[in-house]
Amino acid sequence: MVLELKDVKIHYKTSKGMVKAVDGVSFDVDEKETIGLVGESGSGKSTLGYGIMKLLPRTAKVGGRILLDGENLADKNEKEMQRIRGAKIAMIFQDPMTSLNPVMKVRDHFVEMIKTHNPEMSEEDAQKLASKALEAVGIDPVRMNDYPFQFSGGMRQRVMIALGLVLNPKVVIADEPTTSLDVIVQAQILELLKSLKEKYNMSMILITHDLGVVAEMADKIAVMYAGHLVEFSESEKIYYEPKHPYTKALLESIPNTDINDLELKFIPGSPPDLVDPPKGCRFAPRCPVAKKICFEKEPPTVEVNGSKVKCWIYEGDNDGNG
Amino acid sequence: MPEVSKFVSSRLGKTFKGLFGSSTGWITFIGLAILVFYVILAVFAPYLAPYDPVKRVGRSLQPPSPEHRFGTDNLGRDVLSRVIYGARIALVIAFLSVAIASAIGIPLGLISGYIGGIFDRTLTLVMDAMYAFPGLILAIAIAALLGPGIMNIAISIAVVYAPTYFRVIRNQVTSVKNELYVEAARAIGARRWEILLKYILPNVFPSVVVVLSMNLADAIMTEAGLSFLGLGIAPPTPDWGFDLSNGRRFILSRAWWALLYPGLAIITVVLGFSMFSEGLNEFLNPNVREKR
Repeated sequence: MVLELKDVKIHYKTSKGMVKAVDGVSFDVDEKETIGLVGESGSGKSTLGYGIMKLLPRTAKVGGRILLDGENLADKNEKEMQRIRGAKIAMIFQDPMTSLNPVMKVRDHFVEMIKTHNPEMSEEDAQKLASKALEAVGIDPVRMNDYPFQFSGGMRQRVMIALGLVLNPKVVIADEPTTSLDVIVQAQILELLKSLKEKYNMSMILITHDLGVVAEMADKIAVMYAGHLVEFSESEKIYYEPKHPYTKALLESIPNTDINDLELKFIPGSPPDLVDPPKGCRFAPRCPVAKKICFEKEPPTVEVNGSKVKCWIYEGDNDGNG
Repeated sequence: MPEVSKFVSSRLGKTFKGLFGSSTGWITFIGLAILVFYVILAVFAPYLAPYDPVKRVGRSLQPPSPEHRFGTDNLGRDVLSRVIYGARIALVIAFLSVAIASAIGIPLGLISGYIGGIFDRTLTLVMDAMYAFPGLILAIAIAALLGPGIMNIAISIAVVYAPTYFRVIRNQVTSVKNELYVEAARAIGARRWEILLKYILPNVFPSVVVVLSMNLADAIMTEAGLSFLGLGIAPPTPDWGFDLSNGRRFILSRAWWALLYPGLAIITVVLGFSMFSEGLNEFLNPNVREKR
């Protein structure tokens, strides 16, 4: 087990009160495993990703335990995190157009990063390492001397990926790495991430709202809703036998290209206010199969056919047909 | 590597073509030419000036003639020589005051914008209070307090302009620090001072350079104003502002030359700085540059 999340809580202090953006999320990431973290906007999936890196604003408090190789990141201060970020755990961001410093050459991005973690390494060695990483993502190392604006969006995302991998981290957190790219480039980047993950023996947390992307990439899928982890299971199980009503609704709402099915399905209602979330299950107000207890008590996380589900409907029967 | 150098030179060529292809390119160039002209005047003043600027070299208030091209002032000093030497004081004070102002304003703005919180609020309040004073009045008050002298004049002008740098930098930093590449720098483990110096400062610097060149023009005006009011450089030293106020007294004796030439010098050098900064703004602002 590389990364272990245990009852992770991320709360923001705002003028309206505490926003419980992530509330008690637990799951494990095994070696070389890809976890797809899905959910709609505001579900806390990105907050969780940033929280693992401790890149949140000062108003956020990270609770629970985030164990990376046994080290609890939740307890680390900024200085200690600086040594871990980039070296042991890397992040790839959503928008490659703005995630590189416009006034720094690509080479300097690499040299900066490598030297931050290995101050004794010479500039030449750092450049060699950078060349290798760029080659691995399919960019001619000669282009190291160019500025970010001389690259296209897809190329920049490749550079970002190379930058993330250059120090061979244990875990990479990819926050919607393909959202701002067109479909063809998207496929290329995903293919690249897949092959690099194998080559570099990394684990990956892929944050996305695109269920098509996770289907292709993830070994396991974690579904989040309003700060809770509502379902966690292997990808096939999520797709072919979703257990949680929210997961089912989410899968039904994927638009398709079938000409006979032109109706767009969606989940009625909107996610709850996280300052004052509903007392029971957070999905209950929008849930088609909600019972009385769903509005009164927070559901427990139960295991049904190898899937972890946070729902009342499986209480008492374990056949998984709810 | 011949290929790389060819690439660089072609890019450089394009830059120049872009510079002169537009009207602002010419404006920048003219501004630069004026500035270079005055810098040469200042540096080579002893060789260029026909007479000693502080000695009586002819009769009082002589109109322009072959011996005294710009005439003489009320003490019989050569106006041309005084204008040439005056460039020294003007440029030294302009650069010195802008250097002091940016040395105060830039670091404070960087730190204040980056750290934020109560420190930022206090400093912003102090700077805004300074900014609220009319510039010349504040400079007069400080100059009167410190007394005459090049350094003192530069300090009093610098105090007036420091808040401008502070505000420009601070506001830029507050927006730049939320850029994704700053976040990404943190994600690769960059330290705070590294982020501040390598990721934020270079990205806010273009706007500073523009303020800087505009302030140079303002500083010359303020210095001339202070000298005009008698708060500047001690008298025999050639100074445009002082000569301007001195010449004003004899305008009724129809001695227009003692007033006109120092005045022209002030106007042209200020114009030179403004034109140059105008072009620099366009050149350094990526939004404008990309549209070319």
